[in-house]
Amino acid sequence: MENEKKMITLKSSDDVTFEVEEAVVLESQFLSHLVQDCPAPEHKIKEVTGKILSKVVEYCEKHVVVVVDGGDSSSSSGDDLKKWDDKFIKEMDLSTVYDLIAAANYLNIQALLDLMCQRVADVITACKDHKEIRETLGIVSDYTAEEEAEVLKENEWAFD
Amino acid sequence: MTNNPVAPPPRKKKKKTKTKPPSFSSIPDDVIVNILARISRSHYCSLCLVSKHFYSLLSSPDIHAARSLIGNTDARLYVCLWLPTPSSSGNHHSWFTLGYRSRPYRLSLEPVRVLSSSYSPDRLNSTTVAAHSEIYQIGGSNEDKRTRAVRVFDCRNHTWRFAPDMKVARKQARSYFLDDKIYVIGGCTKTEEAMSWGEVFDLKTQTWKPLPKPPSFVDDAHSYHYGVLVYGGRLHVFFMNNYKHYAYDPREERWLQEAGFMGLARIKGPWCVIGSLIFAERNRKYLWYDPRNGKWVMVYGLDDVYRKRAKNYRTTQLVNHGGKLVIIWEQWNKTDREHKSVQCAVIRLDHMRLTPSSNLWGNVEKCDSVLNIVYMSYELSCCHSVLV
Repeated sequence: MENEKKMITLKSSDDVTFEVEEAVVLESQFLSHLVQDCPAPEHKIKEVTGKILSKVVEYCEKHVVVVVDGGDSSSSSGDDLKKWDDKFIKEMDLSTVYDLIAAANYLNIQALLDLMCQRVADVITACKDHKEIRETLGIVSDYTAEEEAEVLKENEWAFD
Repeated sequence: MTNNPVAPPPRKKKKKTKTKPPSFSSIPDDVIVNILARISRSHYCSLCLVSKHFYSLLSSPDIHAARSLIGNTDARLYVCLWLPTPSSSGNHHSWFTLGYRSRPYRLSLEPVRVLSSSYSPDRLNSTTVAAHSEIYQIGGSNEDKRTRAVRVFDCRNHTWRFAPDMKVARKQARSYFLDDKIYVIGGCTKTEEAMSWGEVFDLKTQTWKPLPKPPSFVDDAHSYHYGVLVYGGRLHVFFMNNYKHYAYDPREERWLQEAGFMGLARIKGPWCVIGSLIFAERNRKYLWYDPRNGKWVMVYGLDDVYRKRAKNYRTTQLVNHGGKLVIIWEQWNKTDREHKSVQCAVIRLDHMRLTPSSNLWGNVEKCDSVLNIVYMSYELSCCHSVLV
């Protein structure tokens, strides 16, 4: 039994189940506490849908640190992992990104959260001005024209 | 950057978002800060214009903490000027940062808005040194009394804080940053100098330790005529009168006599180190010096700078600004004996990997007047490139 990997079942808000190794669950601080405190075979995660949870599981399975026979702990090599991350976020639409941000924040998976934040940052950086940023993110400006002019005046210089 | 008692990393706020469709507005503030901190500063103007919410997040100290946590930091140039106080006979220190104004697109010095709640020291003759994203202001005098006090300006949130006092009071000392330690040299009385010529502040342990003198220091007449620079991971001291040169290795914690740097002995003005080269001015031209072969060679491509420079000028600072060479000089007109102007050039250096025979080209990115009129009594107290 000792050598056998402990499996844990995660159930999404819409009752989709995922059977994963315990090590995968440990990528999430929230889940590792949950698993420790409540040693049930199945854990329902009411906050996350099946669609998003499948992405989370996919990410964690890739990033989990595998202890190989030699005792060396290694994940996929850094470059490969980075390539995988890039591919993972490349074609993701923004609403999935927002969902994953909420899930990573709730489940407390910092690396996934950082990856998603970088994706949103890249989207913002690609915008040509503040109007395009508002449009892309669906933000309604709360500035009056005068206030906007004032902010522009105050910030018209950029740091070197 | 373990030494900085900065704002703690953004707190985790758990927000329930399940009922709403996914949108940017459902993202909690600490996560938005995480996003914004990944965006280059050059986009900050657009970001501020998005909404009041963005503007307030970008003005909060959290954004600075998040930027250093992520490692998304830029070099920013801080300049301290000693300016006449309006409606008073005295002078006061003011801090500025070098930025680009967009209309017209030119270099300019923007006043730093120091958070009013934090203590801003106005000491004379202190020495300043940049360490990561902070500037240490060390010693100086208060009504002619030397002080041991150390104040630290955090350039991320523009606040002052205290650091542990030195063991000895010093004014007009010199300070250098090397290997997470600050080296302070001189500035005390002759008697004190015998015991504590210099001191070293360890940023990790936040403690001061004495720095021994270079071996033959006591014997040298006029021993205060010495140059100091940080080069190749060591602190170098060389004496102008007898051409002796010592290097202090932080790991071995001792001085070793060396040869080299003699070409610097005749330099009167400022110098700076960029990579393995030392930049200085000789005969009205900016040159680079390679201590490995002791040769001075002209930096090519600076004609713009020489053309804009007035006949009467003085180079006040040469700064390594994130690998670029920043030259600051003041100039004046013979007909106006009361005012000067302050000029600044930002130069990108090409071919930094040099062979002994190759040329170094400077690409003058910007060359502007940053202060058009300033009273003769002004002084440029210091200029530091800081990571924020």
